[in-house]
Amino acid sequence: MTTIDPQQVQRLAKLARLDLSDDERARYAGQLDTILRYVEQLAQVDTSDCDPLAHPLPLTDVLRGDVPAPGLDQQDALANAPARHQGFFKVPTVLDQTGGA
Amino acid sequence: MLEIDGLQVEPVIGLEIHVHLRTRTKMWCGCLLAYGAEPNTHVCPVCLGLPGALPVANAEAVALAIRMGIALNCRIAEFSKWDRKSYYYPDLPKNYQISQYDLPLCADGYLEFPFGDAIRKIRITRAHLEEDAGKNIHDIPGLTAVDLNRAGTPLLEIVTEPDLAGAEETREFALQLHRLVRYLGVSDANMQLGQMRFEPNINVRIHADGRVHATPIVEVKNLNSFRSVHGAIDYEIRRQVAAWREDGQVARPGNKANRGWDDNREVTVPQREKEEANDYRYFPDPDLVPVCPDAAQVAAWRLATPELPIPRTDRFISEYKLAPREAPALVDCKATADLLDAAGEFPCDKALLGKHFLSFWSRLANERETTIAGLGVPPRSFSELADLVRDKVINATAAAQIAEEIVARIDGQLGGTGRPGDSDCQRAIPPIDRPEWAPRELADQLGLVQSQDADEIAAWVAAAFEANQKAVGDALANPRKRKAARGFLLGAVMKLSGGKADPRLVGEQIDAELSRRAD
Amino acid sequence: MNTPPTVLDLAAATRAGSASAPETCAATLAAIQGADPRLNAFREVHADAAITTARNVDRDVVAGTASGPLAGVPIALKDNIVTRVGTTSAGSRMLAGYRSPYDATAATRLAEAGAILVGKTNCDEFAMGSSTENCAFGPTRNPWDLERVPGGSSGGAAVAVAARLVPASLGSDTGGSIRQPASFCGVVGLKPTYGRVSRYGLIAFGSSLDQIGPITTTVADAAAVLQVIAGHDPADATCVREPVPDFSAAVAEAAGEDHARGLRIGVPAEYFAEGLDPEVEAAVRSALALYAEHGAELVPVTLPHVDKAVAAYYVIATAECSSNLARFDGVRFGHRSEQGGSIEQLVSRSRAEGFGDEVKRRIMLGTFVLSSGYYEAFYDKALRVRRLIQQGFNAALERVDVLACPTAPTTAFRLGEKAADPLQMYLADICTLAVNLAGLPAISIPCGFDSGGLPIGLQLIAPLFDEVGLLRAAQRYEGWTDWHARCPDARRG
Repeated sequence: MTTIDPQQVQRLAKLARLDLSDDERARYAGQLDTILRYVEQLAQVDTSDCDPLAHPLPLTDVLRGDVPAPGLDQQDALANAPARHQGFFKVPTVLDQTGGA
Repeated sequence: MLEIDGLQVEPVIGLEIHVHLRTRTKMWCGCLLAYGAEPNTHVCPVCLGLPGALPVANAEAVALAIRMGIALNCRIAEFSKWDRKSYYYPDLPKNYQISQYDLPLCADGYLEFPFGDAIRKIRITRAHLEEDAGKNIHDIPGLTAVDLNRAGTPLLEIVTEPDLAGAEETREFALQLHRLVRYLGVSDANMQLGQMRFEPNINVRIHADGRVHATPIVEVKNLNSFRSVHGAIDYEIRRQVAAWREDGQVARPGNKANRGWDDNREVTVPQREKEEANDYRYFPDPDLVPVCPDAAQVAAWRLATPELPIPRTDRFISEYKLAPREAPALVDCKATADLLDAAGEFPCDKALLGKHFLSFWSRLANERETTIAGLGVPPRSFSELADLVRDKVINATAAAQIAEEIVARIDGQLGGTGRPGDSDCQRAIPPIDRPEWAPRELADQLGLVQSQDADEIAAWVAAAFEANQKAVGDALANPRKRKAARGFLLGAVMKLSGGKADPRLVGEQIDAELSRRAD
Repeated sequence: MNTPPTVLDLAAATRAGSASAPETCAATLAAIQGADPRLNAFREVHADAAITTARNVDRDVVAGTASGPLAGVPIALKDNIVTRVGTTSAGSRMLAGYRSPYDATAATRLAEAGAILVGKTNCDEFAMGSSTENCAFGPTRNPWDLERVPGGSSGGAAVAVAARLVPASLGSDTGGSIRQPASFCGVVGLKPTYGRVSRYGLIAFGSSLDQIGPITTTVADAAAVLQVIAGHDPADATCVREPVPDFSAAVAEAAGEDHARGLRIGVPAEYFAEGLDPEVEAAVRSALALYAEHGAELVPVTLPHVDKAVAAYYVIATAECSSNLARFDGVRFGHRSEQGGSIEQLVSRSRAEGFGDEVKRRIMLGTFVLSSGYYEAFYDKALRVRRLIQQGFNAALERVDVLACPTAPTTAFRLGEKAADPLQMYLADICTLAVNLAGLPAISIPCGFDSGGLPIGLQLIAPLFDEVGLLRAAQRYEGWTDWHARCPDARRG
């Protein structure tokens, strides 16, 4: 049986980038634990003969042609940014310098 | 197996390669791919990850990935899907990357290449499509600036098995792969623009005390030159052997580390790990639907796969009698290689044809910062020119002159525009074919048809001897200067003839005259 | 206006010149201004843009070129459908003041059809909730009883129609978010087949479940609005190329028939189980009896594993939402914490401040079920159960034309009644969310009132892409009853 304790909540909060208070951690631990207890009933279903269904329709191969479409100009792109710097989005200094995907 | 400080060391290297695909637009939206543009000017709601925006996959990127997979002898998936890879980073707009997790488009392939005296076969684990991130700019003090022009650029990630056994071999493999993607038109693979990046996974198996000790695996991130691939691997092998001597650490689950390459100091440096690097929470992207490549289409691409650079190089060496070192120059620009083969379709002296491609045709292309395929010369003109030389209608000097004339006339026609750049190995321009610009025509027009007339040549020889008494004297009296003096006289005759005289006949007459005078 | 005009009447009158779009618009804006302070159905009213649109429609009418099927019809959009006009906040502090640089496809299509988009309606934050209480901008109240919730998450959209402030609105339905508030408010709520309507510009909650649909006072109006928003959109890879039938013609045809002979209605035992309010059950059973009286055949059916739908849904929906909401990091848009710190701290603080309690809870749950070591047991397992649930629906729908059941197990509950217990709140959606797992079209239509005067909804469910069958079945019932014509007096205040 899986349990969710405040420590687990802290691990999840870090993964999900949520800065939780101690109070929230304790509360979520209890609530998520209750929900998980409920969700665990899924284990009762025999699913050995069926594949996962990620999508309700059996769609495949919906692609677009390699055709340019107009985008946003710089001003519109940055219009909602909380902070900008000379055409860039501005964030605090990032230490890790590994760029790229 | 290497020997380092008395230890038998066996490097084990796998390579991950990221290649920007040669599409016009991004992976999920219609923004044009941008290199060096003003920040955040090639962006839209989709690649900015704005609320409500949805991705739609670029069909051309899928096609290029599959064509590359075919060239790498991969199995092409019948069912492939998109997955989200979650991690937070300011240059990753959605804070997940759309990638392919368990069902990549291409898997289980290999690439063979000659290395030393052997053919090396490196297994390809997989090749999958994903999107590149934007760029975090760090060179402004006190902040990081985010430019998302690159975000969403189609990226093919190729992963090899750990089959590479050394720095030199890995560099050669990387070069062959670079050659292949450019040749196939899958990527421009411009290293300066970051269009191709390498990440080797390196460790060493140390044979000592009758046992094998495998050192912890290190992944060196984001190498963007062949030199750094070589340098990083070379450095890592030595560093890992030294580290093992120091601490005896061996590879075990969880102790793989990332390092970066310091290009100036030529060392690898420990890298701050991305947070939660081990929990990407992959799951199928519900905004996208699976890709099931059409079997007939894949078969058609398979059939249409051109002769690949390595076998083509071998063929060019034997067919056009090219030197092994020179052949790749003609193969790697696919459009030029195709043009050479098109010219070679006409019966002609192929060795001369190859020689012309490497000499004056290359020079004429270089002068115009284009490729030979970008010159616009009809294939038949190449072979006709080679034939004129073979048949001694003209000599080599005249051939170069005629080539120059043909290209100059095409220049006039094009007005200096419309030629592909010299790094574009895909595009040929339609040849401009005028009967009056045919090599034989031009040979006549320019008066370059070689003279075979013995009397005419005898007159030029006599005139040359008359005008160059000293050389004649040297040739007759001084055995050490004889050869140079003869060459000088030959040049003088050719000059007098305006390049028309057949050099072989001239040489014969000069020799005859010299021996007559010597008697 | 004793009987406020329907979408169809209004559009026809506008095109004919007998109703003036600017006058309709002004009346609508006045009605909103009068009633909304008590209801809080609207998060934002776009008066200027609406007036401009109405004048343009009027100009077209005068010029004789007004042909839009929704000409002059005021329509409200749920606050998670982006528009360039005004702001779109998805009911969240995270997006307060956010101005979208593009329009959702559904909004564009409404505008092209001549509709007057009057503003954004309140919803549970990021559409996560069943009561329209989880809002950064205060709860919306049920016009039938201001102390009760309107349902959710499209509560504002349902209230705006129920209170007759607008004849139609667009909501979004991920687990019942159109149908359940329609039921609680006594109006018609249609969730189209997944893929029928473009999601482009709908701020995503659960991408494989979300679908935009209309809330109206009549079935024919729902058909008319669906007609406009349905159809392929190249910007949404999950929006199908399936041909769009003439829904309005199908409904008109059904309206002309006074019987339901040949209609087979499946009655799933699982949806008449314990926990169902007796008054709700009684109303739904009498609706079924009315169908039978008119010649329909009632067929008992079972839906295997549908009892596991809530569990499967809360795994799948939260997994998708944990990822969909990752983009709200305060870098390119949205709330950014004043507390500063490192980039990681800044993002974590911005998200902690910007998101409300329920959203955080669901992000945490979704993160958990996708995380290493739990994926198989939770996320993958839920997807397998999802397939079994879909197979169960498909099997039942092979035997019958539609399924009929309650839309919600109860009528509208009191504000705050379930706020403390998330699981109880989730169970309130038990009748609706399996439909989203299976991707099916479904509709909620008014079928009575409980003893407290609160509306009860009948849910009909049809096979994939059979909105025609769904709307025809719904239209027949509507034709025999007048529940849909009753409106709360909250409007008069």
